[in-house]
Amino acid sequence: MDERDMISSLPDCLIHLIMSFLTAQEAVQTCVLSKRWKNLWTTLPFLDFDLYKFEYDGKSDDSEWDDVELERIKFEKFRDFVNTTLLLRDGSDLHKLHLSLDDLKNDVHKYHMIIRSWILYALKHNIQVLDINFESVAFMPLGVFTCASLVDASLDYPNALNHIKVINLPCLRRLYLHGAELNQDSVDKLLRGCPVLEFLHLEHCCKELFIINSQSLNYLKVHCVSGRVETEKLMELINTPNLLSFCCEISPEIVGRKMVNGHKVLLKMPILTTAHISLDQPYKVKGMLIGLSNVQNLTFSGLGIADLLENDLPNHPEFSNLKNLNVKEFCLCHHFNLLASFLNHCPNLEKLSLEYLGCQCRAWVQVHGNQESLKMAPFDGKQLKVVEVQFVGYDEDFPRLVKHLQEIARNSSALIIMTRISLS
Amino acid sequence: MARSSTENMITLMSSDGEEFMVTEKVARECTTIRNMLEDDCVITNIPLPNVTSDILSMVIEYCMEHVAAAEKAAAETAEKGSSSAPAAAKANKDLEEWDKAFMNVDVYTLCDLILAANYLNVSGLLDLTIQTAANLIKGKSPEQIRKTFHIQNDLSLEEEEKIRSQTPWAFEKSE
Repeated sequence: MDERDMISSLPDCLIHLIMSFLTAQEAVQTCVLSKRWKNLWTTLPFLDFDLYKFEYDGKSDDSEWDDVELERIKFEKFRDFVNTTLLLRDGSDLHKLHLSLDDLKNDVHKYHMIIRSWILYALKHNIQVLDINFESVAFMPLGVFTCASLVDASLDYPNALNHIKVINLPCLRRLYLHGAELNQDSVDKLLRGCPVLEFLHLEHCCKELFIINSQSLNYLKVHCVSGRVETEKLMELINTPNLLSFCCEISPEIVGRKMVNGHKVLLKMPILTTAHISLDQPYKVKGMLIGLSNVQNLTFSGLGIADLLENDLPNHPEFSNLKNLNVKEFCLCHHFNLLASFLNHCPNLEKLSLEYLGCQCRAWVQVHGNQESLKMAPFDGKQLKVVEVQFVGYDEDFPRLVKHLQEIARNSSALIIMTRISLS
Repeated sequence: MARSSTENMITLMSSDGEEFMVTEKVARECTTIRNMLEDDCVITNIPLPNVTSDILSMVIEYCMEHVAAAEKAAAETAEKGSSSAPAAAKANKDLEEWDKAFMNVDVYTLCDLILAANYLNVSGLLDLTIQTAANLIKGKSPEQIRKTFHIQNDLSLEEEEKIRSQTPWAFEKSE
């Protein structure tokens, strides 16, 4: 039987690559395997410190301590582990640091200093990929925002962004921010300071926005769900000439609260190919459709889409490049006419995907009246090849949808595929 | 992408002298070979002194499967305007299943594949093999890891004890 030890004969860089899929603890523990492995971890350029996955010996009488105390003990063991690992590294560059402290719930401010020091270590060792999950504010060292080596960053609650004078991230290509209470000034500063930023994802970050100006961005995702927005206007102008993909999700607490009716959105994204617009509640904006009219793939999701379509109704722009349209969580029984009107502006549509979850909008109909009375020219989809419908069940409104689909079938040669799905 | 290039055949020669005829498209899955072809487009015979025939045939099998999957998806998109979401999800799942079955190899073959994927620069195969090796380490005690990979423990008992006593912070969990 072959008993060669192949893995130990791999070059260091490949063993390090294998270790990059392990937690830092698992990686360090390989030091007892053999002489070959004794010091391999000290030059490991990828470190994944995850408090949740951290294993420690909590064997003794757990029952004596409450959760707060147990968490403190676990964090202290974890802190010692991280400190010692960083101290005993050989000082070579750290390519990637993942630090996950989601688990930490109590007295988090006590740990800010130590967590800052770990991030500072990374900044001093030419960090390229920084991924920090920690549900607390006020711990991010300002140096993160002037780190010349940083290529990819995912940051939780970097609220220092609003106070910092200078942002200079010359190599940053990908940025994910969560919970940063950005104001317009900090957004401007951020985008000016990241000249090669291609991917930007802002989650729960909008406080009073939004003008976004960037030459380099090709992927932008804005996700506003919290009630923190203190503005009447969201996304007034997005000027991103190189954007290819735009995803915008706006959810209940914001919309409809203070929004100005008919507020105008100007989207300048001439080469955009893919857009995903999700509006959970009525959102009275004008002009959004015009900004999206070059896309090839478009997804609409949420009840608020009805308003979006209705607002621009008389002058829907021509979506001459649109090939795939995906419509989700939209009331297909009562708002189908709005959709049909939109479809008439999509002469080259090839595939229409619909999701039918039953009537979503009885309340909406009560307020706005039944849109079914709207007379629309029947959709004439000559290019349409496939209509895919996913539905959860047959309800009293289902026949309305079937009627609309029959009309489409009469006017085009599209193949209609109906699939029943279950909501998981 | 030049369409005509897909028909060109390339001969890859393993370290033990066996020859494999593949389409240029399959060969281009290996970034190392792609770079050679871009430097010198008339090259048709490429010796690969670091890869044995057993391993090379597996790398080719992997590349062919992934090229075929990509071509199938592209054909479906061209035919229907776009591949339907459930069909695309199924195709992805099938390919994942195929990868999983493909990784059902002994640790020697796995390590040889890692070296070959690294040398030929097939990023998908390198990720797959590296991830597979990491999964063989995850959740195992040092003794189990040694057994899995036939790692000779050349540390004396005293030495091992010494390392453990110097790194107690890493071994918080009693085994």
